[in-house]
Amino acid sequence: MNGPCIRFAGTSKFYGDVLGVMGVNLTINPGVTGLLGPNGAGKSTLIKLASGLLCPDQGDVFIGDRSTWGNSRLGFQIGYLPDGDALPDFMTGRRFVSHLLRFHGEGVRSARQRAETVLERVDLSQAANRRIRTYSKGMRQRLKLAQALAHDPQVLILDEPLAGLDPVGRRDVMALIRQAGEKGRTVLVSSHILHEVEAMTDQVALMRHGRLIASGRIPELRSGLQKQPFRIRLHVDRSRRLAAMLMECEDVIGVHVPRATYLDLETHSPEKAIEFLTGIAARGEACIHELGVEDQGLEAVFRYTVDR
Amino acid sequence: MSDTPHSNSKHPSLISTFILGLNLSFTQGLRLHLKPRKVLIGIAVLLLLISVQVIMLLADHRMRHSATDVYVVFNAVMVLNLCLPFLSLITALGLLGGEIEQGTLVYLLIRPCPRLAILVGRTLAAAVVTHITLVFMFLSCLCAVRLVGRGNAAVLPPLPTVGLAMHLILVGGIGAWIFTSLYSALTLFCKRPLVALLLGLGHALAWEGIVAFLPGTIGGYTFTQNLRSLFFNYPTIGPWPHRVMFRDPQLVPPVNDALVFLIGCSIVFLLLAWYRFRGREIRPAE
Repeated sequence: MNGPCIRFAGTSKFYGDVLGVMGVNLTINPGVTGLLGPNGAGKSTLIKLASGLLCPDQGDVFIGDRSTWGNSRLGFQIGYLPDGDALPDFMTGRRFVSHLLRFHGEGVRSARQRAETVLERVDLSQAANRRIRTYSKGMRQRLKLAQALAHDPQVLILDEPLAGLDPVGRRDVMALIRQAGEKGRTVLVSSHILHEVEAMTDQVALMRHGRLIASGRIPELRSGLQKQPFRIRLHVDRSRRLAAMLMECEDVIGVHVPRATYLDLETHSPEKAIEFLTGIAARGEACIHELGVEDQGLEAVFRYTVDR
Repeated sequence: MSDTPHSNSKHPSLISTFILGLNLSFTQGLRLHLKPRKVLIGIAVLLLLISVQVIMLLADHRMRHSATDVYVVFNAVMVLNLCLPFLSLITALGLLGGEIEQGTLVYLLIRPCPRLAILVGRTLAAAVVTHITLVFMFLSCLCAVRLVGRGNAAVLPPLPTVGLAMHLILVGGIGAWIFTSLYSALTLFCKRPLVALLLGLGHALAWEGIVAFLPGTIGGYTFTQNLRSLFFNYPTIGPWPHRVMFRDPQLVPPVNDALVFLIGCSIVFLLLAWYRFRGREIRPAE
């Protein structure tokens, strides 16, 4: 079953004179959505508004058709991983997860069993009986993920879930998040690390200075950036000759020759440019060793929208 | 794709989640406070209290006063006036203010139980911790009196043991609850626990420590004098020869008025705390 949508309807939040988020209109559909932006962009504020920990000053936030603020029953549907490192250090990992599960109406025994299962999923079963104060940063992060996943929520709201994890931990957590998305859960993940978000999803929302500046699938966002042409880098035998031929192609808007065997071309339509290049290579007019389209991933979208 | 919320038929009802949340918040609060290190600190404080009392009693013997007088003075003045508010302040700050400051309360706030349940559970846990400590303090006083009095029954109040125990538990419990609910509300209204601590200390020292003993009727509005009214007038206790020393009608209200005042105040504090807690936001770290 697909999870409900998270919907921000003209949502604004201020901390006194400081802007948190401003007029955000966004719908997060089932599947994984990455929330990206530099520090202070308003990602954590948006995440906290979605999880019902902050009250919007203007507009509203809905999960399904219910407002998130002041609606404790939504806790059955939401799994939330907070930022920061705070955990009740005096408890063991198992006790922490099973204790929180009991708030969802689980009996003592079934809460313990579910806690065992979810701790195994996040690879913490070996350390489950240790006190949290003895956990490393990565283990604490996985424990936070375990409590968010434990009651099998329809909506997962994860604030920097990969922070503090080692490469293996990152890979495992990314796999868990992808799985949740594939199962139809609505997953909102905030992160700074672009390639990791790109590895989990191609659905993103970009924020800057408290405003939502773009949202959608990465390829669509990239092709929507008409002012920023794609750059194709070619490794060829004779770059100057190829450059002259490329100037005849109407889809190529610029050619740059950094070295004798390398050539960069700029185009708004990489598919047509590549088709043109394929024709040249097929006719034997140029020898192309390598071809790569740059500026087309999330990093380019981020650079041209957020980082400009 | 479904945009409708999932059926809640399999989820517990609102009342069930309230009771569950109250219970779990209470038990976790108790666990949070009843830790071995804190128990050891508590025992050290008790030993210190016993030592102070022994010194006071010995000094009083030299001045030819009755040991019972000293016992009554010590318990009424020290425990009810000073120890009880301070203990309540520390536990209330630790349970609510500390958790909000550290950020661990967020794991409870996102659970499907009403915030009132979490608040009442935590306040109850703080009151129980305060109360347990208080009962130990009273017991330490008794031990000290016994020790110095060398088993002479005359140095103990003329009460049956069960009656005395009930008396201490009841008055201590009411006192612990009223001060804890006050300081819980104070903690929630202050942005930082340090501010709540300073305001709480101000209240304990100025209002309960000084105003309570000022001549006139204003002392009747302090918790100290209302608790004293229960302490010395509780019907199950019977006569207490020395209670007359605290029966200044200007200071001590009648027992029924005291009960109504204390219960009414605790309800008001709890409602204020709830008002603040239900609107409490968990803001991103700066």
